[in-house]
Amino acid sequence: MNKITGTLRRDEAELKRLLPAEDVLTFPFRGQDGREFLLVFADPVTDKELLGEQVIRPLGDYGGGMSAKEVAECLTSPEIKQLSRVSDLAAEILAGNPVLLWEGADAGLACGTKKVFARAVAEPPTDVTVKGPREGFVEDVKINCALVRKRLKTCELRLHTVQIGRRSKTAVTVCYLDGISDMAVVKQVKRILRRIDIDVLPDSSYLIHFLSPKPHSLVKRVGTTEKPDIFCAKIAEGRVGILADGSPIALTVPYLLAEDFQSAEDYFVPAARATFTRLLRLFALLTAIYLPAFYIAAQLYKLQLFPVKLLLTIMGSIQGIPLSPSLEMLLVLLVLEVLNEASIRMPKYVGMALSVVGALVLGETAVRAGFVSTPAIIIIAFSGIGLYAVPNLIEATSVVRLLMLLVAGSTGPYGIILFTAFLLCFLCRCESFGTSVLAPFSPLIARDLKDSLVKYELSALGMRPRALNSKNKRRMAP
Amino acid sequence: MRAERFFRRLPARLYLLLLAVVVFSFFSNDFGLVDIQKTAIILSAGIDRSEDGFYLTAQIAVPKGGTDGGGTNAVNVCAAGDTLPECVEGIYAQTGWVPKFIFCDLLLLGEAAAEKDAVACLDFFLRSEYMPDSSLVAVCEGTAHAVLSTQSAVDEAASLAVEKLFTDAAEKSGRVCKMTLREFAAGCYGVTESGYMPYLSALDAEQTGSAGKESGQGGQDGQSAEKEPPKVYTAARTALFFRGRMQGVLTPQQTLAFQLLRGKVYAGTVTAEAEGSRVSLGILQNDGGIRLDVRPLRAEFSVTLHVRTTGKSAPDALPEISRSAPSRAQCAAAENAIAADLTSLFKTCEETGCDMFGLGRTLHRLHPNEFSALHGPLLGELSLSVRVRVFGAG
Amino acid sequence: MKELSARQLYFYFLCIAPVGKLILMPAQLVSGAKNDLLFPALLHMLLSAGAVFCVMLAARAEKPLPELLSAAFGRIGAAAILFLFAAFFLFAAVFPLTEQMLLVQSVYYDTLPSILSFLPFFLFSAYFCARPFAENGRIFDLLAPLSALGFLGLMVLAVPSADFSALLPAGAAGGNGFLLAACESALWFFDPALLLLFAGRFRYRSGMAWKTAAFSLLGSAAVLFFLAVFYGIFSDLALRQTFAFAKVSKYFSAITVLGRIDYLFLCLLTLVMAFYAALPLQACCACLHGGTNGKLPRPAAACAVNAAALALLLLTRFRYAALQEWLMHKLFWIFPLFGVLLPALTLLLRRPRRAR
Repeated sequence: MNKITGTLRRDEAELKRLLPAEDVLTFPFRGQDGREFLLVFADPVTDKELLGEQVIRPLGDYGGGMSAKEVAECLTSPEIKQLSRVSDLAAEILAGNPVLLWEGADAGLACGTKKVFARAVAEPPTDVTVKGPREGFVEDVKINCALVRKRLKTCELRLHTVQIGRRSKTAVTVCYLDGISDMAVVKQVKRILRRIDIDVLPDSSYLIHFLSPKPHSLVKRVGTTEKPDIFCAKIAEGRVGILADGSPIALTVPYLLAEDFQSAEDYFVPAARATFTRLLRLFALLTAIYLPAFYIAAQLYKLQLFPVKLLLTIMGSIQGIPLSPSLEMLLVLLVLEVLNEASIRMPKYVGMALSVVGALVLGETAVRAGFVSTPAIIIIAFSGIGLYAVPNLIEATSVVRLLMLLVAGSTGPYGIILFTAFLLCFLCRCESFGTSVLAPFSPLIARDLKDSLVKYELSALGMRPRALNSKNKRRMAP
Repeated sequence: MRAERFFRRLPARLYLLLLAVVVFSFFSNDFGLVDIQKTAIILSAGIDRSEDGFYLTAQIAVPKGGTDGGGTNAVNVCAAGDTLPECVEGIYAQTGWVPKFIFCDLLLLGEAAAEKDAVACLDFFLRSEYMPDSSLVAVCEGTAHAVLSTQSAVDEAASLAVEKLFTDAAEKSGRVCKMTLREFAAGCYGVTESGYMPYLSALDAEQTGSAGKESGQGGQDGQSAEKEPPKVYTAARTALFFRGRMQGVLTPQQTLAFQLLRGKVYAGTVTAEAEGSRVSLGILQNDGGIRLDVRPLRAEFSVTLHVRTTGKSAPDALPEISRSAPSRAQCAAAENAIAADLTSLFKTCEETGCDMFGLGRTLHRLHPNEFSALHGPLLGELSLSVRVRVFGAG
Repeated sequence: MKELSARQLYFYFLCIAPVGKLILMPAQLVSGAKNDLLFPALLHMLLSAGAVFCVMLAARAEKPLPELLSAAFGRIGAAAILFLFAAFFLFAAVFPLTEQMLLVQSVYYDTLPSILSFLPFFLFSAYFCARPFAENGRIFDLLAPLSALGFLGLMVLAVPSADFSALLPAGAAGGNGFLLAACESALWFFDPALLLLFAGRFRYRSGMAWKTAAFSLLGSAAVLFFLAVFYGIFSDLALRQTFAFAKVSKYFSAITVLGRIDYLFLCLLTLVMAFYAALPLQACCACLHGGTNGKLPRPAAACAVNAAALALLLLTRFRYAALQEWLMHKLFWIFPLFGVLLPALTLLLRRPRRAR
């Protein structure tokens, strides 16, 4: 039992033993009647000005009792915790909350004067909209919770925080609307989070690993978003949200594949436009995945898939190309993936030069030199762009595209069909917290189709999605 | 416990093994495949009969290479054999290219081949799963080899120029009777054993009119030092078949009459002699039909046209030109001309035994008893009445 | 345990079961009945619908087939019957697989490839067969719109080229032609037997029996319409037109300009056909699993059944004529017996008490 003794020197020594780091400082000062106080704080994460205003100055004039309760009443900080265990006090110091000790103290006081490092709330780079809110989550969970509270001003909103990570002690907050979210999902999420035993939780994506029943699967089981308006809308539909300190990516469960085809902007434009855009995304994605595969399969196995004039044009273009069509396509695809990866990682000031290299050298010059053919470049370029029509699925779809290409090159058009059948089978089995990932298509839920790949007018969306099993089914008056 | 762990990891290992197999087969890429560069895309095939077999002329597309793209050269490759598959093998042996008929849009029969047995020529193509039976069929004057070897004045390859004659737009003029392999075979194998196909002739193009395009022909059948003049093709005549053999050829007027009867003419012209000059009437609307009565056995051909005057051999006054509606006399002359053409068409079909109107098929489907009671060819037992009405539209 | 919904069953009979009859059956019917091809097909469809009705009534007990059989014949008797059905399903799968293989080789490859081009089907089938039969409901929800889209697309492209008067005169084939065609086409109709495996996997609601039979008839009507269009396009040439569904749409006028756009619909239907061809194998696995009381794991059953199917396919690869002779002339009676009569007779099984 490492409770504080009340002897200031001994308590100080114990704290210093637990926190030997050089940036943990102590500040002794005296009160009006000469009694000694000691502040122990972690220098980088403590707001010293606030500390001075809310703790040191009031105590400078203090001449009251010695109990923790009486001393606490003197302080002007609204966030004061009384803790009697030295280890708990050490944890508070590391969290950025300075600890106040004095001679004869029955408990230490942790003062909430932490310095919050967070960037400004700005539009997230991964989710850009033309119309609609531009706020995005930041790396501080409290600010993120504030953004959620700002949008859901209801007493039904519950924020349940747990600490995950033995050494990082990352705050993870579970958000849900009581009476709307499926409580079975809420309980399951809390249970999973409680069981996580990990050293450090640097990002919310680590949580995805624990929340997914098959973490190695390509299929997502957890939704992600960087925007508080989308996050709140998902919670209001009946999902459970998770915010992790240090990560701007919020998680939502259960996850439906259809939600990645939706964008916040769909709800700010006319329904017909939104429907058109969603179908366009689907078309772009399917084209991106299947076009390279069918091009290869047609060239190698079934020329009849091309109209004859197009075939002759392609044959003219590929004359003299040293590689077989499948290898050529694979090579161009890999080059595109390398370009993609490099463009994300490269410093901004060399970005322009390397873009020129990518476009001119690898594109046009390679064609002129006869290494690759023009149709291959066009197809892969369109495919690359098409995949980004649904950016949230890019990790999975780029792998599927590659596999589809391998299958097409090795087994032909029927191989593509069988692989598609396999994918459909596989997706039908995937579930996210009891809900099929393919809902509302499989199982078919007619009511939920109104806001899936097509979007009806707002007046038709008065009921919450049935797939999410919400207790409160109606969200808008008829 | 170990077994449990093994079975738990087994699916992942199986997937990895499968991926390895797929990658291996992707890079080896050999299941009896034919590289696209080693494929001979046959655009059209000409079939001639020799003394003891067949002579196949395949017009193979040779794409123009480079980054310019577009455009097609054609090369003729010929081979002889006892059967057509032998001829195809001969082409393979000569060129090293695997011949593919999947893009073959035109089958041209030489005159001799058509007269001997057209169905025998087409049998190979009907059997093949890789041959589109929507390809066009036609008979040509002389040999198919000669026609396909000519240089076209309107296109790079002779076959492409011929195919232009059989577009839907060309059929609407009424000057051409398009026929596909499927329809021809259906007729020949049907109860009427009849069929028809366009009869193709190659004519020299005018020297001043068509300078002729570079066709890049040559290859297997050699280039002569002096190039032949470019040709234009016409398919205004129609060959008639009965029991697989060509029995006769319709005149262009009879071909037009047949198209009018089918109601297929939308942009054609009918020319008749009226009021001392030849007048051309543009067809605005064409309705046609064939009615078959069984008691008595009679066929009625009816054609109804709405026409407008488009030209005359003798000049007209300006008010006449601006009016454009044909006179009653002109309409009557057109009616007589078309009726005469229809009658001569029927007579030609009766003589050749070719039931191109499908009367036998209709009788068999709707009145099978009467069909069974026929003693000879139906057309010989049928009486004909013709009703033609031409209305002027101003 | 996952349950099927009524809708999923209706989807199966409306959109999925009919696709298996679009490949070789039309040409086979023409060989016997010529222009009267609709009548023998109609006979089979009516019998199937009746058997579906009976099976659905038997499924009111909401017990799976092994339990129903155990209640009536005891455990050993049930196992024997299940093994018999497993053998039947494997036997019934041979011709559809041969059909699929020939279809794939002809329609999706320009030069005739080796058997290796069809081997991947067995990999997919093994994966599919390892799933419980009851999990097919979600698949049906996905496949139904794809099948409907593919079929409708093909019909839109095909109907303008069809001359329906080619079906006349009705009755020209006579009784002999009708019977011959009926015998030769029997091997395509065993969907009521597949329905048996769904018993106990759905909640029976009032009216489900006649509704399922009605949807079965609707699906059959689609097949009949297809047969009519097929014969209307090819008439006397229909006998030569194997892989019917791949050929009817290529005469559409836009094809010459756009290329074979009908391949999009063909691919959709082929996707559905892959599942339909794998269903008898999955049913065989389910019977083996049920007959061994769950002792034979599904993945093991899937591997064994697919290996056996592959072996049979390799054996009959170049003996198509002999296969036809045996299945259509000598052993055709097995299909109406196991595919229609025995499923219908399940109505007479003593029903165990429904658990409250």
